[in-house]
Amino acid sequence: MANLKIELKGEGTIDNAAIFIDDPLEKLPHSLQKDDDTSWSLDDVSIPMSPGDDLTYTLYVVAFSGTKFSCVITDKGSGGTISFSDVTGKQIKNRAISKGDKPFSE
Amino acid sequence: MRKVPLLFVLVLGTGTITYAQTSVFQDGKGESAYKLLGNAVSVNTGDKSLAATLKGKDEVSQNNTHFNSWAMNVNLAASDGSSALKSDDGFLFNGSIGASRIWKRVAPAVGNTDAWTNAWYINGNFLVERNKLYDLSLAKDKVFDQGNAGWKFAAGRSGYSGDHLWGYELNLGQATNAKDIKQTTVSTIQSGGTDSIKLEKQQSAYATSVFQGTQFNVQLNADYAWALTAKKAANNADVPALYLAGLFRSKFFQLSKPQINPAIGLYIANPGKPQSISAGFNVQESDLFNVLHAKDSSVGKRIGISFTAGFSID
Repeated sequence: MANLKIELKGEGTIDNAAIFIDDPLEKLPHSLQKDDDTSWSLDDVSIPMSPGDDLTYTLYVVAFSGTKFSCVITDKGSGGTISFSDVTGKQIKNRAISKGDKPFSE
Repeated sequence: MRKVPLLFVLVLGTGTITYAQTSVFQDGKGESAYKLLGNAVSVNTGDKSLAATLKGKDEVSQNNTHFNSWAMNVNLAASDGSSALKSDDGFLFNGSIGASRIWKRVAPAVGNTDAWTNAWYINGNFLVERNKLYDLSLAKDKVFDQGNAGWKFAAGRSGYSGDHLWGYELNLGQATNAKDIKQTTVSTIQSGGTDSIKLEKQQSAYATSVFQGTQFNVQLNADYAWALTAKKAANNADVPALYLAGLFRSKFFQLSKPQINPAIGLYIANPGKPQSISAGFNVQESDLFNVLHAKDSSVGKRIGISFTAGFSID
């Protein structure tokens, strides 16, 4: 079981954010909580996974087209992280979607 | 030594005042409809004003789709056209202080609906104006200062979806007509005889014959902006978003014929922060149908250009 912390930081205002994390049992959306206009986060997301497993995620960000953002997912047990960054608005009028399938870095 | 006040018809521009929430989509008179609805500072060369908004913490709904907040705003503008705030007789300024309630809604973060954000707001302001007036029929003190207090209440909606920013606002209140009239340069000249005169003082002032005290007025404003470079900005975050904006302003002063002040402008945002407009300019036609019967009746003579710059403080 891994205990994750997700931190999202926008260079501009982020209006809403949620992340889908695939685990062997279910696929659930986790809504991030607003810290301030540009920072959203979610702590204590528990999923059944072992060290070395890849994490499959889909991040949804609502912000004006062109807003830069970066996200860090931390495995609180091992301290390993997954980092990625993107820009909203690749599909104009649709929310930004960042998908990945990555291992945690040590 | 005899002092003779003379009039020169040099138009210096109008002293104006901005109200409500800070916006960089301000026209030359300080009016706006699209609001930043956040912490921001803005400067407008049209009315020589400085405005700031401070927003309180959001009250977030359980499903993260409703964000309600309070905000405060202040504004200070020179009332003496292009000259300084300070005159020989004291400070000349137009100022306002107000508070807003904001109800912001955003699309849920997941699902199949398009992304959008919009917010309703109401805003109340207390206004203070201090203007310089002249009346040549007076025996002395032909140029004098006059203070006026007023108020303004606004209700509107701002939002964006994809590449589009938009806003509309209805506001009403009591203010002077200083925004809509022009100042004249009043020169005081010392005449020392038949062949010598000396310019003693020059002041910009409104004629009492056209300056009206605090009067009721209603305004309807609308802004629309289209992001010309959104796709490029999305693919290259170092490309700033550039907006083409159309601004519509109508003013019903004492509920007489509406004064229409349309404008078109270009605005640029910070790279990676397309919602934070950083600077822009607009070209505005004041009183399109000349309902104020300006002496300069040609359309071209009522066109003005103003620059705005803003800093969104995230």
